[in-house]
Amino acid sequence: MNKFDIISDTVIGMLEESAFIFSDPVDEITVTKDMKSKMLGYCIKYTSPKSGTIAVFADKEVATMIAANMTGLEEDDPMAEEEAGNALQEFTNIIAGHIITELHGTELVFDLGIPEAITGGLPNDDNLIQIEIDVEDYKLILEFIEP
Amino acid sequence: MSYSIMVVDDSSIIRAAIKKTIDMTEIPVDRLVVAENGLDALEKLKETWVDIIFCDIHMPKMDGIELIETLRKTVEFKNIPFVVVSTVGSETQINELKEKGISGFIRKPFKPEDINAVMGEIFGEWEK
Repeated sequence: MNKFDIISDTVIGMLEESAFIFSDPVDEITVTKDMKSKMLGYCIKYTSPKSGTIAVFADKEVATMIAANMTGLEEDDPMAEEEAGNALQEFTNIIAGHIITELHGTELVFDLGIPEAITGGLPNDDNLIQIEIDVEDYKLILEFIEP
Repeated sequence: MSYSIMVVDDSSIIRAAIKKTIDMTEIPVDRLVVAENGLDALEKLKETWVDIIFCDIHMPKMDGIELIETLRKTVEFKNIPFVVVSTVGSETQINELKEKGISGFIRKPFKPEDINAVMGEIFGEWEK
């Protein structure tokens, strides 16, 4: 499997395992930088022995679903919306750990940073991989760079 | 027997998720104590005995590694089972944690079966 497929499968698997959300990847990226700037976003960097950055952007509705499902709240509970950012931050942390393992195995030791808020998207780079996921009527985007 | 369980994580989401997952196991819980980091956990342990600690690694003020090192040097706390709950996937790191005296490891995201399995390993037969 190529890197794109590995990462895509990992994102979809982790949405299911961590937040009980079933989703589908899209074939072509439709989300623009402007649209991403309106989404919640977190990025996390890792180093040693390889370095890279993983960013997750999600419509607030998706982040709210993640918050609700991870904590057992109802989606329309105001607390779920309040925790949407925290939930997406934690999801970014979880997905990063799994992507690194899926790509590089379990023997190497990586130094994973703390997810930080981000807007607009990672810089354009020849190594940039973008994955767009449909979650009901909303979007989740994962961006990955490993030079 | 019912258990007094401590959950240590700086993420309110993960603390809630662990609580929810423990509820799904039907493990009889006498008390659930939460702490935001290692320092908070130590303060609460002075007031409340727990049967087991589920703890993240990366936390501000005092991380999980420093917490377990501190507990293992403290007479009254050194035998409390300590289970790391983390995104770490490296076998090397997990083995290093075992050398520091952890009782179990659960990788995020976690399921009720993971909690059941580790409770069973630590406390003997756990039927559910």
